[in-house]
Amino acid sequence: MKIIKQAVNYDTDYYVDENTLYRNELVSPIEITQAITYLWGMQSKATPLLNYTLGQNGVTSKKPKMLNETTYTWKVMGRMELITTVDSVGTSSTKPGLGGTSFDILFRDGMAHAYYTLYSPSGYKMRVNYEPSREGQLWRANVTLMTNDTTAYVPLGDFVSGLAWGYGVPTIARSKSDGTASNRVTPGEATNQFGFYRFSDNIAGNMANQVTEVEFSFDNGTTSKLWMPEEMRQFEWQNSQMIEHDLWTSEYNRTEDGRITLVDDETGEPIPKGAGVYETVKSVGNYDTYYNLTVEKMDSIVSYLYDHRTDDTPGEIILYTGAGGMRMFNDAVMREANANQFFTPLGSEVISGGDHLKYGAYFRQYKTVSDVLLTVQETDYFNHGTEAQQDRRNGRVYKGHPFYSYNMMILDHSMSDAGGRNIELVAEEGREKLVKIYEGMSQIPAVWGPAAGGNMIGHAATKKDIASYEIIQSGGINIKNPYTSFFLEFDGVN
Amino acid sequence: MKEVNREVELRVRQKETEFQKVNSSHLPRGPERLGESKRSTSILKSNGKLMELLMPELLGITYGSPSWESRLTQYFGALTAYVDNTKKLETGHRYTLNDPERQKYIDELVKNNKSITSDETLADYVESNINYDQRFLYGTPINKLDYLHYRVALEHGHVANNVEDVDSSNKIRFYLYTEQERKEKVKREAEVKRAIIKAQSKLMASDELLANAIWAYSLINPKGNVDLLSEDELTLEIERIAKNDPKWLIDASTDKDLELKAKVSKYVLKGILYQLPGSETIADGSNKDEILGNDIDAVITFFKNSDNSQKVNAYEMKYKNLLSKNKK
Repeated sequence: MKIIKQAVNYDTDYYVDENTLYRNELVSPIEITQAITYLWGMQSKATPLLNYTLGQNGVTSKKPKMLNETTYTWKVMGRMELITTVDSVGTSSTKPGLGGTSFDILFRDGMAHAYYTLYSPSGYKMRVNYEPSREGQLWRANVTLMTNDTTAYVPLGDFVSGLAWGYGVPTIARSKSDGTASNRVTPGEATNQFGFYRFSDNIAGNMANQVTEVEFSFDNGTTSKLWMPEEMRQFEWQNSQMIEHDLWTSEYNRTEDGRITLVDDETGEPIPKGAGVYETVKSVGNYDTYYNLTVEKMDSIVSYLYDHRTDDTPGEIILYTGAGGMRMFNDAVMREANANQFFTPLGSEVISGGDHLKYGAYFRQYKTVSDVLLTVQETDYFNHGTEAQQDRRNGRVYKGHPFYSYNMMILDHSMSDAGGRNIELVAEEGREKLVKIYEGMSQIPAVWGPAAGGNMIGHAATKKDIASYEIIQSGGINIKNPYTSFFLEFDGVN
Repeated sequence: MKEVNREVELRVRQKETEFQKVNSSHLPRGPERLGESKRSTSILKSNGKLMELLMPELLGITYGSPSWESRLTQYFGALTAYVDNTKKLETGHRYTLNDPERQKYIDELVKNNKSITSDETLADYVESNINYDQRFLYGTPINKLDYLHYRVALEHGHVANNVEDVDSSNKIRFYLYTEQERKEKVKREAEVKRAIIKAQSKLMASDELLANAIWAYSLINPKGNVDLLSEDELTLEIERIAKNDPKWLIDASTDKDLELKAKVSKYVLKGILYQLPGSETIADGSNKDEILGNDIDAVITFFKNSDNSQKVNAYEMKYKNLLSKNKK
């Protein structure tokens, strides 16, 4: 039998000492059993970004470009498209081009050149007569319809501002032609920055050797009655949970002219923050909302993402979600199947036979018509992360799950042709993670050993009966190509 | 058949984050998507008449068929408006007096309004007298998908229904815009501007009127002894009121009690009356428990009431005495 002891008793004292343990009844003399039930599990699956990037060695260290600089850049190359954007018709006519007459069109860009063929949204073909001229922010092109039909004209609906026109091959007469121009895409540099984290664990007195009445178990299978290993497990778990949350939600805070307005009151130093996953993906428009997930929506998103993948390396596109999203995914496939009358026989829902039947086989993957396999991966971050906890407390719950657990983030973890992962942790070179011990009279716990060089007896930095374990960490998340990731947010608000 | 066009633009809120600004050239923003929300889906799906008249054509099935509910859920789930800066939506209606799908609603309208005798008169009547969200009962949306996008946008938490509300929530990503509303807004603003100029001119035509206005406004925003302000300072002060509180200025220019309000303000300054801090409540200066009124209008009523004439005269006397003492 296992007993639950003080499962939600938080202690926010600055220093942990023996009194803390007594107060929380962890060193009481009578116990039914020494094992502890972790009500929410060990919670080691709640940090998918850290797990995936660190697990793949996906960490890049960057040297600051200059003093106090935390921005970094990476090279990006846009896609060559044969598209030009129309602004309006430039000739006063309700039937532009009628009778083979030339007319003007205003474009927002200078992609069309002399003699190019233009394709209107409804399919009319025109030839650009001369090199278009610049008019403020617009380009004026004189064109003639490429048809012998003298009754043909371009409908005004084709000139609605913002519509995409196609451009194509320059056509010329057999002789006496002049040259034209071409378009090109040049690489540019995208920018993000990393921030810094600071964590401290403070102890006082003889905590290093404090033994408790209960036995703690750890991810590596070991157990201990010493308090400090458990203290450090919680410390590290909390740190990673907070970093994970920051990697998702952080927002870039350097203005265009390089200023950071968030300043530490005590030191006057700026506090840099980089764009996290949400901001990066949403910044390029890869964001949508849903209430009832449908296969059609998944299909359109996946098609859109793969349309932006140009690398030859195999795609590793994973859909992260929580328990709510898992159910939505299954429901979407089931609804689609039912709508198409692909009724699944009960037999395929039954997992095991014997005396008892078990109903419960669910969809976890979906293959698009283009052969793309979309795999859903449940992560505790969406079920128990900070925002999921807030949702539960604030009543934002739908069918038993927090709204947040219905959110879906499709992330492209693929390798790129140029090498390296598309999504990486980025940190300052030499300051990826610095761990030091601020040593006083308190004995240093063995679990602090990796930082302090074992159970050392060193020079005290303070004469007080205290010690602390100090971490400075730099970090941020970088998505080199954000167009191949997508955030689908559950909108369950009434 | 009479078509009444109504173009509405669904526009992307042009508020860039610092990350978008720094990367605008190399990581350009793609089209924004307006997808499903619980609120918009629930409100529209619960409108049975709207669903019956609008959705069969969009779903490709007849209303009430066995798969109606699931198809409807799927349709709303997949519905996404792609907006590249602006999406123009045709939200007008096409009116036909003999519309078989809407006959019962049209007949009911005609029964109570004998002037409706043609497609044109039906259109005129509905456009002038029926709220927009009920017009679908009498006319077919010209573009059903645009109309549906518009109705979704009206109920969606990510859409401001007009430009003024665009900063009301950080969730807002779009706003609805119509040229007609813009013109009406410009008209309203111009009318207010004209009224301000008229009011300002009227108050500045006389030194006494101008001083009375500043005295009266001093009850809201104390300026001390207004009589000590120069003509230039009074002019700048009235400008400031025109900018910060135009409605007050416009009302003041036609306020018959302006002089009396100025008098109350003077009494407050001299301590004959007492204004409770941070409020408009005014009490007797020598007995602060004796409230004359909780706002200036109530105080004016008190002053005009003949039952209070003795007190009012006493205040007047006190004020004159104080003035004569100051002169000595």
